[in-house]
Amino acid sequence: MPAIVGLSRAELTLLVRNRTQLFLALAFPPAITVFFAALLKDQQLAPAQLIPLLGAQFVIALVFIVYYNLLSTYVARRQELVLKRLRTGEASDATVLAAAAVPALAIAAVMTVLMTVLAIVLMDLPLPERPVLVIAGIAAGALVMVPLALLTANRTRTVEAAGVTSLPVIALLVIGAGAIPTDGLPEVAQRAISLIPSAAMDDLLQLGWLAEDPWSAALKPLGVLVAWLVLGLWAVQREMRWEPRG
Amino acid sequence: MTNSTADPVLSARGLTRRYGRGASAYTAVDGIDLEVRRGELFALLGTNGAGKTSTLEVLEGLAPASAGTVSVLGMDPVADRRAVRPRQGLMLQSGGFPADLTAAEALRMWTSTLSAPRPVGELLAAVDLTHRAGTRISSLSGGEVRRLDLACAIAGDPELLFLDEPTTGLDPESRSRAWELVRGLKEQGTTIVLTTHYLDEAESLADRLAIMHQGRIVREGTVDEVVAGHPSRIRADLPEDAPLPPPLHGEAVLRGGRLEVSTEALADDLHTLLTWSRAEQVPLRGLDARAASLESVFLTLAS
Repeated sequence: MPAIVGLSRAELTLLVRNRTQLFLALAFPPAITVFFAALLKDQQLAPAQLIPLLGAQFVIALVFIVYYNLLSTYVARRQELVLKRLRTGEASDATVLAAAAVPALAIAAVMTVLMTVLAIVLMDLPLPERPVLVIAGIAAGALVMVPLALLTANRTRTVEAAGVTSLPVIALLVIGAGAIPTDGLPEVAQRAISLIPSAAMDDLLQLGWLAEDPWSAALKPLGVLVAWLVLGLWAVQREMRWEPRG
Repeated sequence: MTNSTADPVLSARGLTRRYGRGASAYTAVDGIDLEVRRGELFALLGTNGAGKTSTLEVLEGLAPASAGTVSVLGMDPVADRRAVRPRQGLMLQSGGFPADLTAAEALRMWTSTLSAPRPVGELLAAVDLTHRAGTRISSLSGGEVRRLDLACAIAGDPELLFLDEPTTGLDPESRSRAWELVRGLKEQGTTIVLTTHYLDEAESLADRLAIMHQGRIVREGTVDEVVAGHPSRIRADLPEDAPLPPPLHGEAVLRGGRLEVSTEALADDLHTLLTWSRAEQVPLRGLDARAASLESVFLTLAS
């Protein structure tokens, strides 16, 4: 059995045994969609207004299922000296880190599909015009959460501290998802916000669902997400903390 | 590839390990030379902070040497680790298992990363943990976790085994079982490098050993070689009004009623002392006579 399979399987077992993390990952995301649908039931929102809301729900879901989940997991494995032990064997460093991410990303895939189905059914959302952009956006958004989680983990001393150290990234992602109305802001600020990964993901969802702009408009948000992924992984490789300090 | 029994499986020249930089740099290992031959059990002893674990980490390929050369199975343990790792096994000083996995699941997780692992059931049996296979790591005793550690170290059937304080914290029964296991591995031809605090462990298991002190190797060789040339010791408490003891071969020190003799001629001096004690009617309370041992060597070096 290749290392990634065996390690991911162990991580999935551990996730299932951690009731809190499991609940947050499985029950929370669809609950958000149902909640939003109930909230907006009477308002006749056009798809153009619904997509950003769905995007925000996806961001919240990815924050819980991927970002925060992996942050706690990586800190726990580091503190338990599991990362140290795994690195004494034959598995590569990349395999050791990727293994924890596999179950989280798989659950994220299933949950976002479920949320989309719920949104289409409950909010009268039309099917996306360019599904490939939608999928690319969600996939890239989910992947970017992994180096973000690792970089945060390197600055988080204990699993409990993760509640605090995660706040800056969560705040950033929430702003990118549209928490601040951008109309009144200066051009510079608007452009800066568009570089946040969650904003780029929302742009791709918009382009993918409504097809109001040409395909080429997708290059910029895709580029933003790829840049975050590449730079993030590069930064992780340079500063990864495999053992508790001291 | 031919490997005669004389070929060193592991050799280090001028191995140095420094932590930190500039003014705050700390030299944990100060240019040591080591050689371990195929099939032998080599023990690395030392006081706390002597540099044993720092040395072991370089030999295991977990950290690069700051200076000097290391060759493991003819290769560089860091640069060539893809080739070296499948042939070695190591036991860390502690930890490394997720608390919520069972012993069997943890072992399965580990063996999934190896290229040629032994079956999990066989490994659990080898360390006598079959009856605890379904128990969570958090519920295992310290000794049982250590045995699981050992199972991981031997999981790939390695030619070369590194054991970092393998029996520290174990109860006497678990310790002797661990010794059995280690002896069994040695009989199968595994080369073993072991660090330990326990001198009796080194005396019992090691073919050759080295004693480290403050980053350097201060004694090296077989147990007999290391002990040779160190004096034996006789101790006794004499009453206050006792006459001066007779002349002895060795060096005698009488302080506050306590006589300590350091001698190369144990039997002769002991005989002289006993004869004198009977003749002069001087009781020798708490008489203790022992030949030079690893312990006495160690204590001399450590002071």
